[in-house]
Amino acid sequence: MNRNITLIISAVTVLILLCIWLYLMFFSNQTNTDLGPIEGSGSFAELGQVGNDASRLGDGDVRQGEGEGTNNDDEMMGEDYNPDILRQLTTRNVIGYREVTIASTTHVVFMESGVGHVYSINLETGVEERVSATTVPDARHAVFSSDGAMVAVKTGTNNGVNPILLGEIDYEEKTLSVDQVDEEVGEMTFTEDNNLIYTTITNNSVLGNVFNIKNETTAVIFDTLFREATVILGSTVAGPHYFFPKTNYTFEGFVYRVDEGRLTRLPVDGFGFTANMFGNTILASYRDKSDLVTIIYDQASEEKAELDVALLPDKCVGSDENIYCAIPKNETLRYDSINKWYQGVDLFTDSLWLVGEDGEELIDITNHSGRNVDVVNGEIGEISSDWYFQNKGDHSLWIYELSEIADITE
Amino acid sequence: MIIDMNLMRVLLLLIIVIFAQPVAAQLDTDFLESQTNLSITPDFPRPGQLTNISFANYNSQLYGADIIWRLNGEVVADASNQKEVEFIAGDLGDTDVVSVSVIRDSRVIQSYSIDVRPTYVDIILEPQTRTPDFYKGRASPSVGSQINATVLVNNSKLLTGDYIYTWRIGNRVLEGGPIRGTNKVSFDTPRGSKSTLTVDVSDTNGNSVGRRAIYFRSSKPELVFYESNALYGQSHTAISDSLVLIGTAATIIAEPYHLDIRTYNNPDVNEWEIDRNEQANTNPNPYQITIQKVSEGGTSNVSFHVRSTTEFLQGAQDSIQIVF
Repeated sequence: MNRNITLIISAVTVLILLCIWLYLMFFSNQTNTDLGPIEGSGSFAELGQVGNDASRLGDGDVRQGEGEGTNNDDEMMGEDYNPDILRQLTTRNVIGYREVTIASTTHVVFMESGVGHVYSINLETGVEERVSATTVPDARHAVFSSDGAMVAVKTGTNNGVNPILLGEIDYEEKTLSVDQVDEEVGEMTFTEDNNLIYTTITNNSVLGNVFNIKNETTAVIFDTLFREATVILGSTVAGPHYFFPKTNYTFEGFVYRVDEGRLTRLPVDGFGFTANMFGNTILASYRDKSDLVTIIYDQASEEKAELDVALLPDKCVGSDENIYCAIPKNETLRYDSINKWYQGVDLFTDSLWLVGEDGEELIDITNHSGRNVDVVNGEIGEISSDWYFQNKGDHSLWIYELSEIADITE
Repeated sequence: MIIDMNLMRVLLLLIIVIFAQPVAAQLDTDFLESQTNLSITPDFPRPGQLTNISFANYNSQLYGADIIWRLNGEVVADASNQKEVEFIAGDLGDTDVVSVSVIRDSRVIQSYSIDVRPTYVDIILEPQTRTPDFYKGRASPSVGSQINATVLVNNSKLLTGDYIYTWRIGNRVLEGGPIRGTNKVSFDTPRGSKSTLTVDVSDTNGNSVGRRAIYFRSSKPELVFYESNALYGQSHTAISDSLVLIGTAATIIAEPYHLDIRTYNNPDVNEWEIDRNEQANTNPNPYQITIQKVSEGGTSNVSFHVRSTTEFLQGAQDSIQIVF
């Protein structure tokens, strides 16, 4: 009898211990996941309605990918390595974002596609908050002013020439008041002094314009002299701004610089030409027979240097000091890669790199996050110096903490 | 009286012939010395471009003479006694002076000089064919589609004033001859895969200020399919071969890249088919169709065909699989 009781007690004890172990194993993971900065927004439920890839990938999956894929990164960065150095900030479909200061804290504000709702993410706490629930129907592209107080929104067809809305954001009242600006706009950005510069397309050319927000007056600041132009707007009305013929691998391209309305042809050109500008540095790719080559041109010294690897300048960010690029993994870019990528026919799985003489791979996004990311719309945060970008596939917003890298390596 | 008049005419003609000949000879000599003896390749070098200047002189008296080349006053040692010299053209705004001296018995018996002013002559082709708004590239021309061309001549300043432009496709002069004051022209893409466009730019005095010839290829229109979402709009990622239908319905857009915009706006043939059955598409945008599954599990073939019946090469046809 005593023996049976002992056996029963032992079995019950083992069962209880097993339950406790199972509880800790499953519920402790759940608790960790809930502490993530992306949680609590209900994003997955909303994206789930459109069958977005991100919606099918639970946050737990992302964390699991990070855990499994970061061994190499851990070794590379040493003991101080922060596993959250690369983070997916939101799974919403983002059409424009900017790093700003709100109540003395660094935030990133962004607008959601289709509905035009404005959100902010506190980068210290990770808390996402809806700043405006005002619906901007068919919102397709947005730019924010440097203080985050203004937003210009293009509506209608994707990235096309459409009228824009100019909104004023009140972060305390959580409101967005919107006025329509009767201009059909191509590219747009806010200047350092928070005026809006934008392009309009005429029958023969593209015009660069400035809209003075205080006076509500418009003035033309340059003319590209041809219509199929890619324009890269600067941060001041005076410039420099740049333009070049839209990329086509069968046509030659070249770049013009605009300073206070004056056009200067720069000695950078080639077939299938495309470029991006960082201070005085121009990063340009063009066709060399069936290959693609990339050069760096320093406008100050007028020197050119060819990089060892071809890349897409659209995927790069940086300054005169450092240029960072997302470079497709295991993929050699060909002469027609840019046009196929613009079509959305070719998709890439990128790693993040520092390019140039001291170039090195910074992080393998797929190994780190478990996600294949095709990087677009990159920006360096003006406050944090971190690298923000979006995934072309779902327009989700990501951050790579470059400042953290600098701290570790110094 | 009549005879006297005829005599007068003959005398007058003789006087003209006798006095005019030396003048004509002098003009010819000047022309040869300043223009014919030095030739430059390319005609209008770009900044930093390898440039060749050659000296053609067939005068037998110069046989065995020394030839000295100078670039901006400095002797080019490598080109000594050569009939040509190569050098890298300077920057935009610079002028390189290249001279050649023919020396016999320590005496310069002929000397020629040419000023080389690097110039950019850029031609921008703007095919009037279809690409979607989100596409950041430039359209390609397809046979029969219209192309707008612009030339920008820049030799330290952009020449946008009163110049004369002569455009040619192959040997055919466009616009019936030179056009004045506008640096743009429109023409239809010729048949054949490769064409040559040439432009000559001169000032109103007839002095050539720029010349450029470019090759361009025509492309075939191609269809690319995209999914469209009511909230987010047209996807920027193409449907590769098949689309997995997650909900009960999906909207698909067919983008006929590089189709003549005139055909795109008014197609003669515009057909959607599902499993080879033509669909009556009531969508206001004929390039868009909404499909809905009526049973669980299976695949369907969705195809689209757009074409002009007058410009038969203006058309495209393709299909994708829908998995549901």
